[in-house]
Amino acid sequence: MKPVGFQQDRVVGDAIASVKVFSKRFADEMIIIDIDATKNGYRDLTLIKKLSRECIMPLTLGGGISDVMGAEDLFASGADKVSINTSFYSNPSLISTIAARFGSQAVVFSLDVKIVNSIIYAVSHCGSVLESVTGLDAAKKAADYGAGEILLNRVDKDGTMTGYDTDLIRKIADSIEIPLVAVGGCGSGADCVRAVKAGASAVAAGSIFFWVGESIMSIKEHMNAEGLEVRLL
Amino acid sequence: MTMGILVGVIEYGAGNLFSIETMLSKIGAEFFMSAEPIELHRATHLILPGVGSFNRAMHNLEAQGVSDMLVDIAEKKQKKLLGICLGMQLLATCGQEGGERKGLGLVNGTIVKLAPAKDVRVPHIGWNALHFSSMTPKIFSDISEGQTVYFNHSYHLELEEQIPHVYTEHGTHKIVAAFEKDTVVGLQFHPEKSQVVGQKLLTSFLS
Repeated sequence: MKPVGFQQDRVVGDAIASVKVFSKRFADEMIIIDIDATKNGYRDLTLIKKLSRECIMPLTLGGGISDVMGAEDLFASGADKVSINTSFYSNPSLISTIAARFGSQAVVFSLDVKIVNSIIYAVSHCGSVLESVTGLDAAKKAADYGAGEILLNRVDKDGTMTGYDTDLIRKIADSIEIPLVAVGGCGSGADCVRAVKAGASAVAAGSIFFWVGESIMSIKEHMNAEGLEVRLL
Repeated sequence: MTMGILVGVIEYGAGNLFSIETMLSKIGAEFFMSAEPIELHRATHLILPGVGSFNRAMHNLEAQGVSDMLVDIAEKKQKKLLGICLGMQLLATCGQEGGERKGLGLVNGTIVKLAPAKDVRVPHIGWNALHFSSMTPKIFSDISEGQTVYFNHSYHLELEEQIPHVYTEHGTHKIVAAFEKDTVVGLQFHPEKSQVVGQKLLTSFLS
């Protein structure tokens, strides 16, 4: 499923087939978020285990984690890291509890933001709810609670392939000491270079691989040519 | 896979074993998982995986009687032991997570938190290149300088003895990526997530 701006869902095909393809195409890591889990209140662990087995890269799983048991189920289904988003706003100590058990390096805080009248709002529930905390404060708080990594997504850029928001990346990256992965808006290798130069430790992308036919390797080669250290095989 | 190899993967409540199982199956190793020293003694090779808290992990190992068993088998050098990530760190003399805590003491060294710096973020997450020291561990004989493996950790081993090891670099940090001391091997990175290089290392360990 590859949503655009979290509004319209475009179905891209069989999830297992996609995982297989990305596993062959030199992706460094994979992130799979079950975007219906928060709404539906359950997840399909059988499918998740199937996806994990096909995934030869380090894997982050998320979507609707609201208690430690949810995280445990995902680790037991193949997750190397779990991603927390919506639950953080009502229960930030969920992050510290999971981090205490599995280590901070296993907990990703997935920070979705929307910029309204120049204010960076943290958003939850698949981008549908504006939280009362700014993106910056949410990032700092999540790090304080023990998140090991921030996955930063500017929701209104997601699926648009018009470039990452580098000002946003810089603001958030400068306020934390943990790694930041930028996602949302990647349209080219040049966008990835800009994101890293703005402070992202890594970049993530989805639409560009499904719709434009840009390959992970071609993007990495571009980044390498621009002097960034990337894993080339 | 060589006949007669039986791998015991130690269960001690420190993280899940899904990825290790997947890779061991892939390389055709015969293996089992257990928390019991009596069971684990059947193995020819032992793997101590792990993520999470050093203190909690040591507590569990001690409570299960596994820590004594590991000290014993390392002394007798009859079985090979592989520590991965937290498992590697537990092999050290002590850890400094929230006050000092004794480790298994199978390698002289201290587990210390990586200090963040400008452009050097902690945890150290991602693929990073291996660099050889002047003493190459035997299991790395098939691996080339610069090949990458996957790291994901906030603490690292400060080695306090001269033994074969390889390292990686994260900013100004020179991190011990692996060491080998007689029958004991420690890998800071995740071989089970490091694709071809990881597979080669696991296969080497089991041969």
